[in-house]
Amino acid sequence: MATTAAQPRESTGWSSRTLSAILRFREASIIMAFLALCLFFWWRNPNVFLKPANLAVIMRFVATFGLLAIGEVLVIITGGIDLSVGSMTALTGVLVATLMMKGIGFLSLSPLGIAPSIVIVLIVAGLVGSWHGLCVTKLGIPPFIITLGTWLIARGAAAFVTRGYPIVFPSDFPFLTLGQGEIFQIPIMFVTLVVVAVVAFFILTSTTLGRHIYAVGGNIEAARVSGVNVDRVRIFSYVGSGTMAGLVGILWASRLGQGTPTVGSGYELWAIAATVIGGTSLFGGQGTVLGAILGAAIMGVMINGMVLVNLSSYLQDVVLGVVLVIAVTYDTWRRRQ
Amino acid sequence: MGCLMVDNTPIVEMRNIKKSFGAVRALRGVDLALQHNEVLGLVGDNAAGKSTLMKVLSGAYIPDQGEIFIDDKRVRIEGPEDSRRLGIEMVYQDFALANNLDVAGNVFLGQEIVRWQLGPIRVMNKRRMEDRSRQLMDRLKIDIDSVRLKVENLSGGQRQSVAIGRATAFDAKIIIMDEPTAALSVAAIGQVLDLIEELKAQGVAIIMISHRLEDIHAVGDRVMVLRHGRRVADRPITGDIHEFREEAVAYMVGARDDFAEDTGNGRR
Ligand SMILES: Nc1ncnc2c1ncn2[C@@H]1O[C@H](COP(=O)(O)OP(=O)(O)O)[C@@H](O)[C@H]1O
Ligand SMILES: [Mg+2]
Repeated sequence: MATTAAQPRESTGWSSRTLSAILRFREASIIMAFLALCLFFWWRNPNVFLKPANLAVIMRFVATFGLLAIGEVLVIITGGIDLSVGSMTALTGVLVATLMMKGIGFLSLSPLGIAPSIVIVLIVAGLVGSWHGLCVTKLGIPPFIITLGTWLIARGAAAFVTRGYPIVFPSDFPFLTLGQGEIFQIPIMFVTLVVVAVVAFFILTSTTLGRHIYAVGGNIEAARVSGVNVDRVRIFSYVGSGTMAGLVGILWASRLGQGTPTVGSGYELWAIAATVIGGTSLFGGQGTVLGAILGAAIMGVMINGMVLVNLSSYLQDVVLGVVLVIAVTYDTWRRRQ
Repeated sequence: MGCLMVDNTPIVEMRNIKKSFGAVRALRGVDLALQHNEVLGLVGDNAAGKSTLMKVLSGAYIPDQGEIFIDDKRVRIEGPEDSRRLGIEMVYQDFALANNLDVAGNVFLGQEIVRWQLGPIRVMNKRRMEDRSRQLMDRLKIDIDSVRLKVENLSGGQRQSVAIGRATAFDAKIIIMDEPTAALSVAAIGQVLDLIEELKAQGVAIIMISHRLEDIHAVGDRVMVLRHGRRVADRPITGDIHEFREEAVAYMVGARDDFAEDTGNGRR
């Protein structure tokens, strides 16, 4: 019976089977797209693209979008969305700068104030996330609306607190190492991404919480009647996303040497695009940390490459928009298959 | 006639269950008895109160009035956890499974086997869950290649079998099914009916809501008919399918009523 055993079980045609096999091996196609992009920009700008300094710039962008995308993946798998993360980056950046410069009593401008400030800002960001989660679960507010509210509020509050001016650190302040420093030529920001990614990967794939995050996105009623605490799972995902935004805000304040209310504009869209490119479905139930990081890698190379080839910043927005639309269209199409 | 092994205490007894939703009197004092190892068919027209009665038993609704006994002991069922603890599992009609999880993930959803725990972090023992799911599928003769298959890749019959099978994974003694065959192809219905017989052979008691009278006739021991929130018939299933259908329909449309004296301001 060897001949029949070799036959495929499904009797679909060759082409659609091959196509679906390629689509199923989604990570491979993302990696290919990533390499193609790298080759393109390297070809357009061979002198700069592969320089260590430029690679560090790319890695910092990948870290930024990767961290935000990890938070976004948690929320999107449960069937939600978090539009606040770009603005939260600005607010938390301003907050961490305020705390360190004027902040916690006698510790202002002291290295001893660094760690407490970071912890406080992460907690605040997590609390904002839990606010989103509570509104979505207990009040039934659509995630799109409640996080859009924070998108406005956080940006406005950041500008108000600083009166629109950045809060600048002294250039020798040790906190700046976080965003500017490197370990063996790898930016600390990127190392942070790797550490967070490992933790997030572990949570999503190995813990009951991760399992429940997928279950809530796959079938919220089934999860509920199976005894999953659906509300707690959803709230956790927003806390995760808020905390990631806080982390990015802290890293960028350090990177820029200042807390500035204009940082992170549009980052929520870059992060969402990264997750969708990485195979996360906006309909919920599907997504991986690895995919999010690969998506973020594409985004990082793209944003860097567009600067290298001197694309106007207006056109950069156009490109982002087009990429987002293509990714979401593809997701919708794939879901209908 | 005393067959030695017969246990005459019902495993479930519901007495005078009443439940209203605003002005809608969904249940007007319903009695139900389910014997050990029995398959009870629950039929009735739309809005007769079948689902409501079963949701009372599974803890999804709290009745306005009435008593529930399990093995002759009065119990309080105030939530799904209570009923699950009493060995009652409900298979819901349309939201039984998470399609994006695999079979093992669904079988153990909400009751994952944990390898180690550190505060809120509970690390799953996936191997154990997969092995146990495999054993469960084998024991119930459910034909599935791998418990690692995502549910969205299963056929309708396999999916419903997994939904029913998972109800038995945790030693349920009583399984409630709300329209288990409603959305299935003919072949899939056969699979599910086989599974029901297998469960019965393994000693489970089953209540099955269905509008497909031939399915009730095929696997049921007894049938109970609800109409406008009242029990109008409760009798063993005998005779061929045509007789059975004719009788059941007569009760469902109100042409016959075995408990007519219970209505109005009567005895109860
Ligand atoms: N949660 C609810 N809220 C309001 N009315 C309900 C609810 N559940 C059931 N009902 C009403 O109770 C009656 C019985 O419904 P149900 O038990 O679902 O009937 P069946 O399952 O026999 O079709 C119907 O009139 C239905 O509209
Ligand atoms: Mg019903």
